[in-house]
Amino acid sequence: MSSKTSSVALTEFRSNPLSIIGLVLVALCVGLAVFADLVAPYPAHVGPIGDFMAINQAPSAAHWFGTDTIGRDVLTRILYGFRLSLVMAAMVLAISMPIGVALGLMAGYLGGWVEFAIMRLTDVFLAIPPLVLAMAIMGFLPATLTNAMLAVTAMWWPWYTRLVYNVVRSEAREGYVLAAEVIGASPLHVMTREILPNCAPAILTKLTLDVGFVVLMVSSLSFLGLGVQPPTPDLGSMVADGAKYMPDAWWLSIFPALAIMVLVLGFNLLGDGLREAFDAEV
Amino acid sequence: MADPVLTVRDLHLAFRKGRQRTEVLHGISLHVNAGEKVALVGESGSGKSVTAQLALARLQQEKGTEAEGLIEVLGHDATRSPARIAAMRGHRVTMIFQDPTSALNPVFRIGEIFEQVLRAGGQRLRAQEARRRAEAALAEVQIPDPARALDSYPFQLSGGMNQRVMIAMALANGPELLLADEPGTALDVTVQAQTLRLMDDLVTSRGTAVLFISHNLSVVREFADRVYVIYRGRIVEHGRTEQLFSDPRHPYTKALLAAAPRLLGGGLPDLPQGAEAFADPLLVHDGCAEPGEVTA
Amino acid sequence: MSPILRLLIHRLALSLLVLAGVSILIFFVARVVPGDPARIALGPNAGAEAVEALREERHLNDPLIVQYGWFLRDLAGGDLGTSLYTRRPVLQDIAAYLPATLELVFIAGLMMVLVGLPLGRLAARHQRRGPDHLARFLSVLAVCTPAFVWGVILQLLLAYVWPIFPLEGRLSTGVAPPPDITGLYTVDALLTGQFGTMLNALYHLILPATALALSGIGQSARLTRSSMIETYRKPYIEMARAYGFKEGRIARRYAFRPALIPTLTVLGLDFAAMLANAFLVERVFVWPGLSRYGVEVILRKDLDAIVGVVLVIAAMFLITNLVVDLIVSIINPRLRLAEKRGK
Repeated sequence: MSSKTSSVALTEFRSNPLSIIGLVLVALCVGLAVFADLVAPYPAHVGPIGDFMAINQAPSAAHWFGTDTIGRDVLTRILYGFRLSLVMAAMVLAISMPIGVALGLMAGYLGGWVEFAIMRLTDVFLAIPPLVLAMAIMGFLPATLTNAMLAVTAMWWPWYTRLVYNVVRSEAREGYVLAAEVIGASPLHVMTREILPNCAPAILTKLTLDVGFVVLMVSSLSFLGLGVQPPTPDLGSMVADGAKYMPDAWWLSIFPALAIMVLVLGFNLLGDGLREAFDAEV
Repeated sequence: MADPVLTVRDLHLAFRKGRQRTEVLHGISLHVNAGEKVALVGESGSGKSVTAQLALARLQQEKGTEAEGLIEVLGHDATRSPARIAAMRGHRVTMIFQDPTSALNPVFRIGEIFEQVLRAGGQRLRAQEARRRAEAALAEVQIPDPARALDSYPFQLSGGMNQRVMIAMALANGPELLLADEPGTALDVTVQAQTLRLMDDLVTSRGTAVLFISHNLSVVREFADRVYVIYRGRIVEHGRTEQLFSDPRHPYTKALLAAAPRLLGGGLPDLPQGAEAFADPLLVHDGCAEPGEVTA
Repeated sequence: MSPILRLLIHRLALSLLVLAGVSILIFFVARVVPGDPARIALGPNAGAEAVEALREERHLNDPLIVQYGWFLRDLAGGDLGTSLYTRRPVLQDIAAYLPATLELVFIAGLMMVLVGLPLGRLAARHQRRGPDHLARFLSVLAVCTPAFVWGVILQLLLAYVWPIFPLEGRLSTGVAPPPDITGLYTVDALLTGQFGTMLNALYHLILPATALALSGIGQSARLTRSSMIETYRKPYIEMARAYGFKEGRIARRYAFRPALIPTLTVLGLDFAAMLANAFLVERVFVWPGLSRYGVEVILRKDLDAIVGVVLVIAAMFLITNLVVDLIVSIINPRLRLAEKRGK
């Protein structure tokens, strides 16, 4: 991508108020997650022990979002929940994206039986709703944080394979690829040096959107009791646990629910802004 | 002299986006009399297509459009009362486009689109009657099997057939003014010539006035009574067709004619961009003044 | 053979292939995981002989590929195995729980189409003006919020704070379920003329279906909007306007139908995604659907049942896409009349 097009993309991005809101929300959530130790009012409440003198308190000056059934500060747990969600999303994407991209490049560029095998496998994965597949995998594995991540990773790569495959298919006949082939560049070189950079805007956009969707998926698993286990603070399980005490202790599930909303919304608005700025098909 | 069906006087048009303002038309004047065929010739980006859009009152409402000057269509001011113009679209004023196939909705049958066209301007019409009139209109543009054409989707017909359909639609309601914006430029040269001749015959026999927008000099020569040459948002020369072709006066027109390929169909040749002489003032041939002006 | 039929057969064959792939995938995942299913099924107190007997009965001692063969043979006979949790055939269990889920998903799908499409159309007509910005923001919000969060919020607001809607369940206590014909309470009640029961069932459906539909509504509004905006730039819309077609008619019909074609395919995917999200919503509203069963068998490591649930959901996912393909090919004459092309 030339510097001119990226400056056009930047201007486009800046002129969209929703993208800026997204950027601000993302910065806020990431900042709070990174500095949770400094920002959280009661860092000690991360674990299983709270302040038994202050259980089930409604939101107040001391506890902005109230306290839970064993006296833990809900705001504190939400901030650590941000951290956990973001770390999990980062790890899921750090593993699934490269795998998916590599398979997509191979399928699109090499063609033949490689293409057939990879794309049919992708079809199989995409034929099952992601949540259901992740749930099923969790059914065969013990419900732990690592396994939940593995389960989500296992069903996330096909989306990148399909995305890159489509881009490669439309780029493979472009002049610059043919030129590289004519001068005898190896397939590996053509794939990684010529084609991959052209997939970059689409991949970047999808990654941004996906941080939100992975958070959504992981918290859904936790909500069903199939993901992160207590006492680790997780937004999904907080909503599920809090729902038992509705409507009296409404703050127990409403605040974590809003936290998920804000986190996913931020990445979605940002991703949407990038998509429009890059004009990327995702 | 017959009354003009289209009068444009000192028309300015600018587009505004953010702080940027681009002036597209710098005060053009032209007119089309009832039953007259007038051509507006210029290269792409010279402002000829926006003139047609303005005449249909289609641009004035858009955000960031600044139009000044007079555009009068069949006695109504297109800038001040766009609703009046809107009510005339499709029956008193109609239009033909560059690419007939993309101008026809791909997911509707020709018959369905035609029915809608016949109801333009709120005319009440029963489906049966619409069908009968559509068939008659298609027969008139020499479509061999009108009933089958009406039951077809645009992609099932050839480009030439679609252009005939488009002509039939344009003339079906007996318009007083037809705007032809580069009609059939997207088509094969021979097909374009055929359909143009057909259009010419039909508008001549009905006495429909035509504003013919084109970049193709040879087509214009065959078709138009009078020609305006437009260059970068200014009319540079105006005369009757035979005057203009036998005695071109403006440097831009001369350059165009000198470079024009003799064969039918060549578009505008590449001209030296922005040659200074092209900015020379308007030259008007004898007897071709705008209505209300003194002959120069 | 008509082109639609040919297309349908082609897609059906492809879907069966994918379904076979899903069965292989899920079967092998189920078998390679650590832990002896027979041991898990019988619990830690069972004797070694009992475990061995069950392993033999379930062909667990055979090589994997042979096991898959047994699995396929049973599947062909409509046998998805037996649930170790309910001790009933898995298919029978699924048949009992599925209708409640389907009813929920159908209503939510209906909401998605009836609200989402007009909303997107409205936004496209007022592009970059008030209603558009509002619709865009709301749809992004809807897309970004997991169904269970909507469930919790709706429940708090409309069942607790303002008790307009029932809190949970399919029917009020004291209302007898209608005779089991389709398993969909609203339909069964209607078929047997029990209008009171039908209204009661519908009343219970509104909140969970809304929670389930919201993200789909947002998604479909968003898609319709962008598709409509693209269509509005097409020459045939310029033609329609030049010929005085009414702006409202263009929005409802002339631009809407072509814009619908790309939208529908994605809508099918969204509808199918509701099958998964139903798991979350059912949990919030204590809805006796497939989710309750699914989560239960997952927590109990009930292998046959898990495989069965995944297969059934994958099959419904594929059927949905098949139906969408069919609708698209009916709307899109290019597909329907493909063979006449170039005449």
